[in-house]
Amino acid sequence: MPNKNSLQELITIFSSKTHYPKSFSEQFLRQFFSLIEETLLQDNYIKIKGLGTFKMIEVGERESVDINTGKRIEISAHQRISFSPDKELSKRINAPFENFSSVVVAEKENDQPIETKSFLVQTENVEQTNNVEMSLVEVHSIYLGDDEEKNRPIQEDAVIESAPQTLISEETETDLNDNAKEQESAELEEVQNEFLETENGQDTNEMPDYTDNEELDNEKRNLLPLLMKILFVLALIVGAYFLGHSRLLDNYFCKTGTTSLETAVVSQKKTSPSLPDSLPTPAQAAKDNSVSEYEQLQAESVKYDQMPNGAYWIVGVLETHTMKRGENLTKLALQKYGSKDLCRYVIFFNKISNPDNIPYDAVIQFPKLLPKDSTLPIPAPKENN
Amino acid sequence: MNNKEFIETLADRVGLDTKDTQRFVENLMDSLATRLEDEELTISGFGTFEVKKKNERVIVHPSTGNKMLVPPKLVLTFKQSSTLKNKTKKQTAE
Repeated sequence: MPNKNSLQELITIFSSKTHYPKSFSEQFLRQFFSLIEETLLQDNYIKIKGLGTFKMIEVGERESVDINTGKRIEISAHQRISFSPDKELSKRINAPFENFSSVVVAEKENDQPIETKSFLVQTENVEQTNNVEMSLVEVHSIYLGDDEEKNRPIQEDAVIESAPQTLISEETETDLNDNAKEQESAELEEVQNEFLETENGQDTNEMPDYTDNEELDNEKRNLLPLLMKILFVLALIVGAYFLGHSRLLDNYFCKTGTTSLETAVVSQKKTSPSLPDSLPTPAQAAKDNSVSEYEQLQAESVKYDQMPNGAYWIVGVLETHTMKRGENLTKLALQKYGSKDLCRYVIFFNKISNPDNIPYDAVIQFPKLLPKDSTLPIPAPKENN
Repeated sequence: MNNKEFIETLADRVGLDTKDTQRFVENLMDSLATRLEDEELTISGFGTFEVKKKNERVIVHPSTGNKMLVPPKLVLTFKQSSTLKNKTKKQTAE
């Protein structure tokens, strides 16, 4: 039913906004709408900013059926007014639903009744034997079936304990993954079967063909990414364990050295495999050099300025070198001592203020270095290049 | 007829200059929208403006072939009054 007071209400709102008398507002509104009407009849088209577009559309004659009599009647050609609101106005009208946006519907959304979540609860590594024990895999399944059954989803929890698995060394990490994969897929299939059994028990009347191969395939497709995630987490944990293990070893070596940061750096260098094997180990050094010789050399260190907190004594001049084009101290230190890090001693020994900018023909003296600690490698020239 | 012409004609009829008229029309649109938020608006002799809710629906995207869920929305509709209808009828008859 048309509300006769609509225009009056609109006039009230309008005059309160413009602060003009109601009589003027009424006149303005009447003129406004009658002008739209007239223009529409005359031009068949009118566009008003903020409101929208009115158009006269010609409708051709067509046949229809009288609803009451059932006779065929002909609707003669006429004109219809079409209105399409302005963008801003329609946006304002739609403000309550503004936040909605189109969503892509996943196909077969309703065909996948089973949602399975697995949580790898705990993975433990025993340090000595590198035992990896997968102690608990919880498979949490929720069934969402037809609409009738959606109201009463069936939950099922299955807890499976797996046998502990032994790893021999770090290299067998990949083996572990393979084994775990097999193990887990076996488990998941078990869970599926178990689940399906209970399903059949409960819903035999409603869904007799539930254990179709198709359904099983669907479930497997659901489980596959899940399986991948579990394996990834497992690999991460194992990787993190070994990382932590090697760091522990490093700490062990650090304890024997001095507390300075530098020694830590050097000792890490030692444990890293990138160091050339040609470096003689401290044990060998102890055999080759007698204790007295070491002390003699150490006594020499008094003559020279010593690197503060350095891991090596400076005990003499090893070699004198004239800088050529293209050479730098890092490379030279690698050549002379077998370690790039020791170039700091060269910089210190020659009191070079800017190691990145050394003039040609500058004469550099390479200090003879003696480790303060027996665990440190003795600097030795690199054999090849 | 476009907006400019419409404002000019309206200003002529009401007896204001175009600037004021434009301002008034803007105000009118604002009050119209305010009014429409509550219920339908009938202007006798012209027609009815009404906000209708379109339900959400699933469509198939023509180019990608994806199934899309289009959210519900509110749309402003206009229905001409019977007097206006008769007027247009007369016009076509002539």
